[in-house]
Amino acid sequence: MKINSITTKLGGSIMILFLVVLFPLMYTIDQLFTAFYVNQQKDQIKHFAAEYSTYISDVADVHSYHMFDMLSELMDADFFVFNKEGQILQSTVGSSFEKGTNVHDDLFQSIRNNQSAGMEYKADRESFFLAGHPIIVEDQVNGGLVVVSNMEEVNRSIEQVRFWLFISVVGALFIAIGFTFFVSRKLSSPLLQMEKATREIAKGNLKTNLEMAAKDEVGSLAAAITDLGRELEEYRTNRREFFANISHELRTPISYIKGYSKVLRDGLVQNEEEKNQYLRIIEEESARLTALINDLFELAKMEEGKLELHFEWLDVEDILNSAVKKVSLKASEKKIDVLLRPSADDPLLYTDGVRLEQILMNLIENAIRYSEPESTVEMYTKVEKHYIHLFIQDFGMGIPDEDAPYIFDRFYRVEKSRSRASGGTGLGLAIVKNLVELLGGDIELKSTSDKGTIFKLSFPIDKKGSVDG
Amino acid sequence: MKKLSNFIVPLFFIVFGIACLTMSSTAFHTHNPLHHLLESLLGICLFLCIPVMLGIVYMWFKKRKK
Repeated sequence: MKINSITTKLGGSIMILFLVVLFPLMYTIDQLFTAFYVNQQKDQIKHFAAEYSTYISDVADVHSYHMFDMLSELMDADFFVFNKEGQILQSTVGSSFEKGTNVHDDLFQSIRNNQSAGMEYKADRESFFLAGHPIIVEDQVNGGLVVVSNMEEVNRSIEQVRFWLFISVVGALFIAIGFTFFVSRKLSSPLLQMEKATREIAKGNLKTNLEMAAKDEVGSLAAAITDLGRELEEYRTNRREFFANISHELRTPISYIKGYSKVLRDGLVQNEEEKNQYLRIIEEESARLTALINDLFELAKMEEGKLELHFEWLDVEDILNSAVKKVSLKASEKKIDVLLRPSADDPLLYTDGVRLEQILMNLIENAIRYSEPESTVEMYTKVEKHYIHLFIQDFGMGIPDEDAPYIFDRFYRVEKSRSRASGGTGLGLAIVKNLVELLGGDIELKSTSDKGTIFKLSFPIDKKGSVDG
Repeated sequence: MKKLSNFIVPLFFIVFGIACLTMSSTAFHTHNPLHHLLESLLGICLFLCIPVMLGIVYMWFKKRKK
């Protein structure tokens, strides 16, 4: 077991708490027992002294004291009797209180004043308790009877109790250690599991699954660690895919440029027409490379939140017209009609016009790209409560259901060869989605294979943004 | 093996602790000590079981709630 581990610290803390309670409790119990035994003994001696002093009818009659010798043996206590001058007349005590000597002054004064007296006395490293009571003859204090009890027996009993109390405490301590062992392990186990899991995550093993039944903070932390691992795993997969895609996307045009420029440099062209064709390819691939780099730069800026937006109140119809105008050349190349049918009650929209136009152009260009020549692309708007919806519909090849969820992913293409041939970078829809979200809107997709696709853009409108307003 | 020792060591402490408490509580019973020893052992085990049982009941309630 490690000393510097949470289990040891937790167990140690519980044990310290236990000792904090146990030691004062042990001291209190010890005091309780000691006081109880000593007081019981003292009370008993006082009671004897009071009781037997009544049997003495005349202090001077020393022959009547023979019963005390017998009592002394029975009770394991000694007696002495003194007269009203304080002189000991009869004693079973021995050297300390011999016959003929004077009684201790404190004891004598109390008894002379007709009061019971008790005092502790030490002799030969033994402690005694003296309980005295006045002997009353004809309502006069005629002397006193003192019972002397050796307290060593009581002290020995207390020592014995103390010893077994100590054994009990040791027993309780062992039980506490045993249970603390279980409890601290049980409590620290989830933390240790989480520590292990986070270390695994740090090492790169992100597929960590911490299953905790507890619904408390510890369970929540475990769930957070599992989620973190999954997020990182997703991020890592995305990054890997992104690098694979980007290297592939960059390599293709560069290969074209490199290959055709080498052909031109080596003079391997047959005629001027062939040369022009190669130069056109180089130009197109350079343009694609530039577009790709621009798109990547734009996307990176968006994801880092560094894209500057300039919001203002704008007429949606104006933006739609402008976008249609800008893509009209591409549309006319494929003889595609771009039809615009704005709603009559289109409101003003608080948005960034440049970015909204970029979104629309991207979607219209996309629609043109995947539409058959001589077909149509339709654009229309609808106002619904607090939203304006912009629809871009084409009647092209459509998107299969299995591809629809990934269509906004970077470099995702439904038909790779065809999309490359049509000139897309694979980032257009990813940019569109990011931009729509930055503008506070939402984008949805409805597509049927071989029938076409509808992109629906929804933006919230404020009441102030109506045409009248 | 480590798991077994994780279980045996604390169990040893608990058993040793119960033995200490039983001996202490029987120390002053000089008459019929075996009877008192068993009686004390039973009493201590019962008192020990009270908090453990409370814990088990709490866990059971918690599980049933889920």
